[in-house]
Amino acid sequence: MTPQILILIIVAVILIYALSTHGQKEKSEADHIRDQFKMKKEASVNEDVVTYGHVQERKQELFDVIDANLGDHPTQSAQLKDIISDWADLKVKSFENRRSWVRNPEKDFESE
Amino acid sequence: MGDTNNNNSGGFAKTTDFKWLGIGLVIFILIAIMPTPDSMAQKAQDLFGNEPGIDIAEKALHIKLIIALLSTCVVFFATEAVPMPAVALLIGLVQLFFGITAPKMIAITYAHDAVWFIAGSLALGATLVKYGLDKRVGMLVINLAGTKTRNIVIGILLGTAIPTAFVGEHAVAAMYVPIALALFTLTNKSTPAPKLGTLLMVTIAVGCMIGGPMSPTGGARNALMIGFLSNIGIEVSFVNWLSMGVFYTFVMSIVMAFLLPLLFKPEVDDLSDAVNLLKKDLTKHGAMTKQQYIVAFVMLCVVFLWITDKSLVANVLGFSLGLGGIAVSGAVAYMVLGLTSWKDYEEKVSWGVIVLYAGCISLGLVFKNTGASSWFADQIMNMVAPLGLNSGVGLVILMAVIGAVLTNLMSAGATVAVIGPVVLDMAVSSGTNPVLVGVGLAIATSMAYWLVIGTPASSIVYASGQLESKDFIRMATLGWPAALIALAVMVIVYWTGILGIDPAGFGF
Repeated sequence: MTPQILILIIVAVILIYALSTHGQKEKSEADHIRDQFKMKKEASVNEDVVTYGHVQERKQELFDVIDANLGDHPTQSAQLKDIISDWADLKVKSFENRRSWVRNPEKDFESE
Repeated sequence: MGDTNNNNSGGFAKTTDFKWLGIGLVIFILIAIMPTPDSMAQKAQDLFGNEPGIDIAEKALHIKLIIALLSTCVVFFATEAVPMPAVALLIGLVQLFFGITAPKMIAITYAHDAVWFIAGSLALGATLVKYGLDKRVGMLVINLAGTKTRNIVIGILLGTAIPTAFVGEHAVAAMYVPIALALFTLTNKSTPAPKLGTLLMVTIAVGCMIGGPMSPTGGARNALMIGFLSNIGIEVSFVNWLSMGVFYTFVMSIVMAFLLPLLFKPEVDDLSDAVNLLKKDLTKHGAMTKQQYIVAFVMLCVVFLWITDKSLVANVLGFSLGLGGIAVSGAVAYMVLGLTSWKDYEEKVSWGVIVLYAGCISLGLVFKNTGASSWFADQIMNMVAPLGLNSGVGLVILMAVIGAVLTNLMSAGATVAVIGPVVLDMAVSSGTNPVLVGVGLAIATSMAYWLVIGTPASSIVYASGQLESKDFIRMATLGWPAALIALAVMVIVYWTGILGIDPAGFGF
């Protein structure tokens, strides 16, 4: 066997090995991204995520309770209503943020 | 562009893997120090023997060094041991330090209209995505596809394939995944339908893969092949490529529209409720804005110029602008019109991809100029000659099969970069039309069906969690041979029969 043939055989074996193993690292990265997505999805199942309509409903219910019980304390009543409004805005925002561009027109100009 | 603009994979965000770096360097040294084979000296004599003052031994050494460089590049492309743009620059450095190319010529080997074309196309695609025009296509598909599952599959196949011919496949896949997830989730609420989710996701991946071959903008591999063909004196226009590639995309759309629902039989065959809810959501996006119309208009002008470059444009100006010149014109027009900024291009365009393919162009050129591709082609021809596959349609199909195998092991662009110059030399030396072999190879490299990491689009749909690795293997078991058969039929019936490309000719 000439030295050329021997070297070419060694090179060919290494190339075949490199080609056959190349996918393992990429596959584990893809699996990692997939697992993260799944975990996020599972975690969100337990979150108290509500739509815009539901938030407004809850907000109105709380306002009614405040009006019925704190009529004598207008300052505190207004403060509580402000806090509830802020909570409602955050709830709506978090609901919108969870939606893809399909169901959230605000995301039209973002590349996801 | 299909196999480009993907910052998250393809070795752009990685650092050096020293094990494979070492192995790559050892391979280079092993080949470089081995005694120069007589066949290389003979090839150098054949190619340069008539030139006065040429040192044949030195030319044979250059052939050996370029073969060593190619082997090292294969290791680096396959293992991504070194950041890909660094590999591209390494190609020039090897030429420089070993005296293969004169220092003042090194930069020239990186310069080609194909590199401008890749850069301009990426910038155009980034602007289309920035203004959500890709999403408008998705919305159109949902509005036109109807409510039957099979029609939606056809809609997604065509709706992903056609944009993929112009915009990066990762962008198209990322845009369609939420549509498919919404269709699946809305259906799954009333009828558990996991197979529907798998079907829709696989359809997106397949659509992105079969769209790339349609046009030169469908992937940097296509631009690279146009560059290699140009190096041997064959100019491929946008229309030339489109007329050759469109057959494959539409035939594969039909084949996959039947095959995929058979392989992943969905639990429901009508998605009326989900589609209607989705349509209601999509109407909230409103009509197209003025800016979207302008972006679309500029893109249409670019496509018009690409199509008429060799005819109308050449007649009016007296010369053609080239695919790259037109692409860059469009990208500059977007900036001049205030639709995008340089910062957008800096952030949204993968400049590493452009450097990588410039490096591949350089490798292809030095491969050809030193005679290394011709020597390599001779060795392969000697091996396949007894099988009768060393010329004509047999050679075209053999190279397509090799390309379709390698693309599952390396990226499509790397496959074309590594074997493109060799197969073109094989075509030239065997009297086979290089257009058939070259374009056939470029199309075959879109068939990365087997693995979840085969293409960026496959990885994106896999991350959605709706399908497993084995679903890709299941799809590829029938889809991959079907794609090769479609390619073979296209070469025999459509390219040589209907388009009249002479298998023994040279060019169109």
